[in-house]
Amino acid sequence: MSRGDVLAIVLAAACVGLLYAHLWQPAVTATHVELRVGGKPAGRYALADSRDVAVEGRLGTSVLRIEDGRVRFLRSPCRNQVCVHSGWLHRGGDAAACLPNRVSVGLVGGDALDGVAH
Amino acid sequence: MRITPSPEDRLVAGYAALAIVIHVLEAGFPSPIPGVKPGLANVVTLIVLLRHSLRLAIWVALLRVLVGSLLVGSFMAPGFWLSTAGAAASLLLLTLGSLWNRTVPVLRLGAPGLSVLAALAHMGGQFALAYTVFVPHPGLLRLLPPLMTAALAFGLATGFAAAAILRQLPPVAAGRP
Repeated sequence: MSRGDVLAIVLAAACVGLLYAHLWQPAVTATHVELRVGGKPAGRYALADSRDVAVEGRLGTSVLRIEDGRVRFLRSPCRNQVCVHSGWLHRGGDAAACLPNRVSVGLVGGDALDGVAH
Repeated sequence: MRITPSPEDRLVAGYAALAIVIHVLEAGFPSPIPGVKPGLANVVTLIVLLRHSLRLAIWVALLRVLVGSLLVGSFMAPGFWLSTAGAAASLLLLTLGSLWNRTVPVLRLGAPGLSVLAALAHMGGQFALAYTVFVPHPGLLRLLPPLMTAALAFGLATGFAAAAILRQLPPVAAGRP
């Protein structure tokens, strides 16, 4: 193995390490639920307010329950119920989706910014 | 019409056939995580690059992706496009690597270095396509570090395999491609 190889491998390993540092930050505290239907934004709800939200999807109505800063699919008109079995979501970045009904939920932090560059 | 294959054509065909066999055999093994596989066929690409030329290596890699997908049955399926994006990115990196070797011969990259960089580029290209076209969800980004770790490990493995094979091969006869 040449010196160039050693350099390349060390650099590559460093890049992978940086990826972990950037993309595996500690989960942000989620404050809002973002709803999407067919990929398009369909509403934003504060996790602080407990309530049920009914969403019209392609197959019918999916019901989401927001409670104690968490959210889950309560009912969905799909056959396999993967979304309902996903259970409660509470960390920022968590997401669940009912693909047959085209409804997805994602948890986001307080500000709607993806990042800030100085 | 009659096509007379040049010695170079025969060489590309032979290496590509070898790469395709490895590709198809590897496709038969189940992978624990989608998108992660050892990519042993790249050993052939590396050997062609280091023994012959970048141009022949690009031919062998592209033929392997095309014919491999036809044999496995994934031609034009999402997996084929992912694989093509990955191959394009890794070939771009091998091109840069060859330029590097020409300009900075002191820090020449051999099989292990080229392989690791190409493996990361392959995963990066594949992931970029998956993220921008197939699943544009921020959650997917969390998968990137472990995927890149796998690419790093497999890149090292294929690189050392290629280096070991290159040491066993006789030197290329003068005057041949």
